[in-house]
Amino acid sequence: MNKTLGIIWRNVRKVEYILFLAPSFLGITIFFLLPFLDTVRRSFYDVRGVNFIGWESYISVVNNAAFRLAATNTARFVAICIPLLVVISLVTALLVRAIKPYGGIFKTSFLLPMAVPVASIVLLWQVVFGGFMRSDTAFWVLVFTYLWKNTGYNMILWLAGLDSISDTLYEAANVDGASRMQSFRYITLPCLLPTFGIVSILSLLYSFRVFREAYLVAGAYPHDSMYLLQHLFNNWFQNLDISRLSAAATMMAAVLLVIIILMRGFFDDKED
Amino acid sequence: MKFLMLAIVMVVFAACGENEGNGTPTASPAMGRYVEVDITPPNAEGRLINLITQDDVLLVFDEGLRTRFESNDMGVSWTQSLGPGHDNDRFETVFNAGILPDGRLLVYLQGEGIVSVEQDGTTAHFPISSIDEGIADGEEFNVSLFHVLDDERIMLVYGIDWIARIMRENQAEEEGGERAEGGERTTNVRVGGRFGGGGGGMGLGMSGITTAIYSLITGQQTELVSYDEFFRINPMGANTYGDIFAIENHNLVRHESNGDVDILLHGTAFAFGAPTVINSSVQPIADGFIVNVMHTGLFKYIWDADAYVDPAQTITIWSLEDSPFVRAAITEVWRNNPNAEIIYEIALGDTGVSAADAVRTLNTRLLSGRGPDILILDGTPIDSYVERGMLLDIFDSVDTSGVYQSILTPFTNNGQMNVIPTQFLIPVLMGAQENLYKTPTLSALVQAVVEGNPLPSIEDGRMLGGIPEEERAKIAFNDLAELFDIMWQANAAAFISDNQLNSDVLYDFLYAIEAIRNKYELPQRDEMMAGGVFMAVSASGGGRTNPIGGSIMRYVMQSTNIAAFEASNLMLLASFMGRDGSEIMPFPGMVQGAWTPSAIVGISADTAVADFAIEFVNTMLSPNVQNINHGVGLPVTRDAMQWQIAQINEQMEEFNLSPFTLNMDALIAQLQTPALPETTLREMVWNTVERLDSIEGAVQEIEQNIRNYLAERS
Repeated sequence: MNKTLGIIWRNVRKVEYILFLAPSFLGITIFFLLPFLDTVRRSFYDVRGVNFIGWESYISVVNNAAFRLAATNTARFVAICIPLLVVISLVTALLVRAIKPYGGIFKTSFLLPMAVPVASIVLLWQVVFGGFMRSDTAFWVLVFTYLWKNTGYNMILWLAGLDSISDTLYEAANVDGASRMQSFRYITLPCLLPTFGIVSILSLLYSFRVFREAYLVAGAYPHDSMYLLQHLFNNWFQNLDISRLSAAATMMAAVLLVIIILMRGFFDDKED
Repeated sequence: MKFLMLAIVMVVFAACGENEGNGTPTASPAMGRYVEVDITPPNAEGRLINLITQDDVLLVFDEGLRTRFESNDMGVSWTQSLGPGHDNDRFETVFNAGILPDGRLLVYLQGEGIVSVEQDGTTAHFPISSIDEGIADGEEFNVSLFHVLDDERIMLVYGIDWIARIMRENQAEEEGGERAEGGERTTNVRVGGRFGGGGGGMGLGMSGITTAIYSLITGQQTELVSYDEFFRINPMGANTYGDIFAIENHNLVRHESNGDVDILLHGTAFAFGAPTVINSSVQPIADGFIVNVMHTGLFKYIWDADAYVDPAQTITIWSLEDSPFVRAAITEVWRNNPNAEIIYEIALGDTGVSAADAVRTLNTRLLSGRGPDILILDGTPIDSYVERGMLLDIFDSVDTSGVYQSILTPFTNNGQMNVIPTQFLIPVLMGAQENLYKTPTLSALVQAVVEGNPLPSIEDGRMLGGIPEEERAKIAFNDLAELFDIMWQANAAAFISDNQLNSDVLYDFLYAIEAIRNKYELPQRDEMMAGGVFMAVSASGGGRTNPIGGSIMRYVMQSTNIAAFEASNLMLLASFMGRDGSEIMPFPGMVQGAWTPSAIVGISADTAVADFAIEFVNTMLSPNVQNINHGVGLPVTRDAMQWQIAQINEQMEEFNLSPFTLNMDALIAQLQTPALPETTLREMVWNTVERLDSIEGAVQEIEQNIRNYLAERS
């Protein structure tokens, strides 16, 4: 009797889980999954979605010089920006904690870039960096924009991670005669690994949002050094080159998925 | 200067983009809509004035108040009698009137103010304090609303008509008389005429708009009504609630006293929305409206519950910008299909979106299968739409038999045609034959400019009065943008071939621009326009006027030997070629026979009303649409070209002027290369030209910028 009740109870719990998950799953399905599947489908059809064209779009995309440049620039941007952002925001978080009585002021000031409207940023950037936008320096302006905009938010994430580390660990280490550097190396860093995972994945995703500033500052065809995949996608959409756009988007999503899975795997291993 | 009108032309092109549907036929027709009934009294001539008495009698007076028409059934039947102006010309300038409870008319007469008019033409001054004071100070007024509220009050909307004052003073000077001052009455004059605002001049140059209520007994203002200052173009009507009705931007709108503005009837389907109409007045009646469409007729709009919209004749037309030509086609299609619903979407109307955003929105709609049925593709990536199969092949369904072959050929490919231009423009040079012969190529033109005389500054009094021929500059432009525009249209097709940039062509292009810019020290922005001065030339029979570019303006003012512009208005060519025996030749660009297609139309491959869409395109090519000169493009059919020329020559003969003899067929036969509206490339080059320091540097920059643009297309 008790066994039967237990089975029923477990099934009721399963239904509960499903019901709780259903709204978000439905939302993700409607707004992300289905459109993405439609994008994958479109990558194998002509623009009007009538004629099957197989891998033609993928082959064309891979052979396209604009795609190769945009993909290289995007990869370069991600490879430079994410480590920089992770390190700078962590250092900022540690500094803010170190000067605790005044930390609140700095915390607010670092978050301000998130509140500044894009239009104002663009205007300022055009005035300040206008002269650099037609040279290789344009790429570094973009990197600076990304760091300036996102450091504050990541700093908050790091601070939350730092706050979650129990003081007793530091006290015990102190009693054992550990130096501050040793505490940081053997307590802080390992305990921040879960936060590191979240910060890294979010930073990766933010890196694709810098296009807005890039587009508004330099238009649809910026200097070669800051010509990103989103520029290409935007222009292909403008020209109704939907098959190639879909193929490129599918490829990019696949690469991102692989990176995120690898990162999750790495951090899960470390946490274990 | 005989044919010119110097004026600020307050022409507000309609921007009434709507997103009401996609043209997909619905299961059942929608019932009920406003229907238009032509109630123009028979024998009525010229400009009409319509009024409604307190007894609901509809009165109409024709031009000059010569004839009075009366209808007791709101326009179904009419009786005719002599009007107050049947034996005099005192009321020639009257374009609007009110009616007092005792049946007398109220009109505004220049130099006199408001007068009451008896049936026999007897007038008496009708005191309205503000207007009388203004006239005493030498002002002229334009009264756009006389609305008698009751036995004691009248609502007036009026403004200072400074054009009328200038014209009056000019006429007084020409007649050797003194300038009118201190309210002294001078001869009545008509603003407008052949090259001006043909609708009698109303609405041109009004300022200081006042809406106020006055006592009919004392003439004193009793109340100032605070409507917004939008009332300036057309005569208006009002109802007993104080709502004011007017035709604005081709739509019938209601202004409430609280400032709310509603569009009651969209003009695309009605006579007052026709692009040739520049003035209409509205009178609300119990079951609808009466609209007096200037120079067209009197129309009644009443709700017909049984009328329906045919789903098979419901189409959506999309264009980036408003086009009087498209509006003319809509009017014509609607006239032939009264149960049709035609929705005209203007992407860059009053929404503030960029052209690129508008195209992206269009693409989204097309991909979702909910796009417009007909696309006017000017300013869009036409090749993309064609290459991706988004447009129907209209080769066999559209009648192109009357279209010039040189216009048609670039748009047909192996028996397939997806788009067709329904208007076109030609970049040309105008000047005396001996001057044109010296500029057969772009480099010769540039050399002639560089070696020629400089252009006098705008402050030089001779700029407006003419300069001796030997001292004139070769050619001139008001600003860099005007120079770039004409150069672009004449050369754009040479920049890219086989998806490669031709750097040599680009170099020559930039060199020419730099040389001309430096010679004349062209400003970035037009100083004359900034000063509020430009010329306009009439286009259609309805009196629409089009401003003309600085190059031709300076040529006409006799400060240059040659004018460069895009020929889009035969009336303009006829008006200015008659002077000094001017000739026309294609602008000497780096491609042979460059021309600019315009009103390029295509039909969405996903349309559910293909037959009706084809009818629409055929209508765009029909005589009733092609024959109208809107001043924004030349007709693509030979018959329409000849018809327009014949019309112009009739007018020339009327004014004892030389006929327009330019052989358009020969000119059009030289056309070979259409400059497709490639906006991205144009923007790239223009951005470089704007800050042009070194030609080599600019070429390098464009080469670099364009690399990805071209690579994307490979």
